[in-house]
Amino acid sequence: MKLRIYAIAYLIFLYAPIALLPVFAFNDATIIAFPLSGFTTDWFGELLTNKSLHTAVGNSLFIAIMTAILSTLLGICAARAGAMYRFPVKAGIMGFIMLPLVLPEIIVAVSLLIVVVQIFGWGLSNWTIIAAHVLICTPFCIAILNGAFQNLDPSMEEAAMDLGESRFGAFRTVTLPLVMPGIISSMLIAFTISLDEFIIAFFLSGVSPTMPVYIWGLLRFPASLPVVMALGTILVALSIILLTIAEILRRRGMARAGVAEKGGFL
Amino acid sequence: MTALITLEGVNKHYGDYHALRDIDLTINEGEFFSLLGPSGCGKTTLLRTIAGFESVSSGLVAILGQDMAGIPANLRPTNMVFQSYAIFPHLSVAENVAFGLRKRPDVNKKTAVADALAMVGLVGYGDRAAHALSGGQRQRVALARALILKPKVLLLDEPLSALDKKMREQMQVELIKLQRQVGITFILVTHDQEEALVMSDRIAVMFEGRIGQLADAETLYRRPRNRQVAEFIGKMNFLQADVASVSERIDLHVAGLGAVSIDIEQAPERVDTGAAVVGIRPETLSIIFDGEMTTQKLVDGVVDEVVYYGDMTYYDVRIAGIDKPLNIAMKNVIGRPVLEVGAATRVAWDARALVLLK
Amino acid sequence: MWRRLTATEGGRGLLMVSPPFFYALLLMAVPLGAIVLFSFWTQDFMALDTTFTLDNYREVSEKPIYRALLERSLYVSACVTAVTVILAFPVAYFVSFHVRPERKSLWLFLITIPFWTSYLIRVFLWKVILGYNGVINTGLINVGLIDEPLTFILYNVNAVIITLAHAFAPFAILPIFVALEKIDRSLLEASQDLGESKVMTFFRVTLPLAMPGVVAAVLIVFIPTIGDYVTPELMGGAGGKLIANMIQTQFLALNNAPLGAALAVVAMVCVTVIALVFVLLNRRWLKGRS
Repeated sequence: MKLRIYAIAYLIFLYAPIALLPVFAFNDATIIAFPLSGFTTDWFGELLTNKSLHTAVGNSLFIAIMTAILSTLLGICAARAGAMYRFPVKAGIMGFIMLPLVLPEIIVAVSLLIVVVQIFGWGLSNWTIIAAHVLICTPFCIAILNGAFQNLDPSMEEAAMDLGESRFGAFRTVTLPLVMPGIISSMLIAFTISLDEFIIAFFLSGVSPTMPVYIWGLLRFPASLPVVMALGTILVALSIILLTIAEILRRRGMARAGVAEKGGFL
Repeated sequence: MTALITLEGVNKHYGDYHALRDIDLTINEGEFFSLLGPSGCGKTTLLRTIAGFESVSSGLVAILGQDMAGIPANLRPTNMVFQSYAIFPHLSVAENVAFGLRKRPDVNKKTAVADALAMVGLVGYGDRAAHALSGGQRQRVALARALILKPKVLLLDEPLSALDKKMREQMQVELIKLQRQVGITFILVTHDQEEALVMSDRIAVMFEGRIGQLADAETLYRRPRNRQVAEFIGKMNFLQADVASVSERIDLHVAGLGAVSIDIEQAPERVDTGAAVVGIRPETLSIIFDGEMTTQKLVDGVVDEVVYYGDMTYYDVRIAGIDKPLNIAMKNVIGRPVLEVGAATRVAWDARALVLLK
Repeated sequence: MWRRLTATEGGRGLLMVSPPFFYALLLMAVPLGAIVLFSFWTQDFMALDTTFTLDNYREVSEKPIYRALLERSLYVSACVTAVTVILAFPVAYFVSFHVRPERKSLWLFLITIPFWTSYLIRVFLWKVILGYNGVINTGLINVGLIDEPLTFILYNVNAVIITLAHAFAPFAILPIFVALEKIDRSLLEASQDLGESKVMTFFRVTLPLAMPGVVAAVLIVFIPTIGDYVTPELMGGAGGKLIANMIQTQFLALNNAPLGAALAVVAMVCVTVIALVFVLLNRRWLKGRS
């Protein structure tokens, strides 16, 4: 019972900052502090007219979508190899691929910056960010897809081949439909991470910033803070919706594969 | 009888591990064949090389005289019932059964599926979701799904191991009937010797990648070719023996039983004079109760242990000259008492029941 | 070659794993090598001097500012790790042992959600909570507990630690939860059956078996926190800046990539060495007990 109270208090601690977002997003005052003054939707209205914000959101969406697709593709390869095959130095290779999970993001950022700018002399663009985001998102995708692939009976594909399908046909008709919820859920997670990622994007963005980089710029100007709150409210709502869909799909995938529910995303 | 599957000098290596060693085997058309052995003996590997899921390291696998090297599983005239059944959970029962018909446009799917489901006793189950089936039902779906393609041979990888005892016994009978009905060669992999004895026309007992003995059930039980097979199949008492002479008949001295003469047939392994082992099954020995008569030879003993099974009682009887007590299986007939530990008794034995091993 | 690769299970597995492997090799291992290489070069205004030199490392070791930043960074990371893991363990324990199985994933979902949402804004909101006119101060003044706003909770190391501990909470809970889930519940019953109390069972059975999860949690929190510069930038004030801020400054403001690279290498080496020592000590400790 004491534990339950503690756990609930912990949840409140986790949600405290987010809970404040809508409070200030609808607050009719330019300073972000108590006491509150009144209700307004002006800050949301300002979001609609801000051209440079729209460009930043566009950049971020493009980066997030490409990241979601590419990292999920890489994740499928790794998760499938990890769950279905035995091969030499497997643990070492899988560990190496998962390493970006613990690599400080600033290290990823500066190391890629050196390679791209100083060594190759290329310009920075959305693609440099995509490259880095795919690197850090792939381990998350693998973690999610592992669940989907490991729950798959390895004889399932063999059964399909035994019944006349080719190796690829067996993958397409049996494995793919069974892991599809996992794939979508992995894409949603990678999308969410990429959309929200700031440290790498700050180092690697070209002339036109991503949304978090743009927000970072706004945070320095007290006058623009209520707009940031409004934007944040929308983002939080959006990511909660996306994550809920991802979670529902992940569970449906587990149910479809006929396994009992256990554990969460990671 | 025509040969359906021929294996010649088949070897399989996984790195340093030698999974199959020089397997020579012919399996005939229409036969119910079993691969029996303890886990890790290579029986499943052998089945999977026939199915096409494993390539052989050396040797020949031929089906109907055609070399199967390089032919993948989907192009072989074999179908398999997997140990886990591998029922596709995202498809209905009917879709599962019809899965292999995608590349057979000439077959009328609807009637074929209905026939296949009827054959395994699942009429009306077509629309069920696959993941809502019981273990026995999943197995029937797996059977229907494989048999609908009319393979030359049906491969069954421990198909009954996931079922409880009652269900398993019921399915054993059904599988035998089904095999007679369709007339297709069945190859069954099992570690359960009783299952193999009940179901098979012929059985290959495998140990450590080799075939220890290939014979029908009765021969396997009555004349195991070596001690490994004898130990694996059924219960067997082993007694030290000394072979005096070998000709048409074999004269030998058996510890505890004395001098015996047996037919050369009772020594499946070629035996020379000198030290050897004699095997004798518990049910060929009997305890002679007070008032009972027998023409068999008798030896005195003392009851060491009694295990009561209801229909049977198993006795361990200590006999002078033998270090391990003899295990004896007695049917519990009316009027026959169950002896107590320590009771003095007489054991009847028959020389025809002996099998002489190295 | 292709045939040989696709013929065996090992070959197919290697083929399958090669795209993510080579991606990680090209975009992680090679750039990390480049950082190390760069740290031995020097920046001469706009030009890069590629003669091998230890000057950068000399500068890092001699100037007190770098040493102070590094020490503070390690201190903050250690505090954040300790706070996060200690606060997280009871939650993981609660979810694993006291939540009905069908509700577990809901709890985990609730715990992970804040982690995925708008990191920058979340950090900023801590400023709103801890600030001069923030939630805590206005709240405490209204209740009458204090007259003046508290100032020790913003723009210093404490604020950085609180914010980071919040940001990394799910990272600590999940590995511990997984380790606790793996514990066979009959082991706990066996311990009690053999005469141990519930509390001693926790210390003699549950905790040792959960240690791998705790170690994973420590590593997964400790290592990445070194690389964060958003939180110290927003919450740390002048006295709360960390090594990552200096790396960022060297790269982006001062345009001295080689010195920044040397700092990054030194930070990485420190973190890795500490992490390895921790893992080894833990292993020895666990072995000593079993």
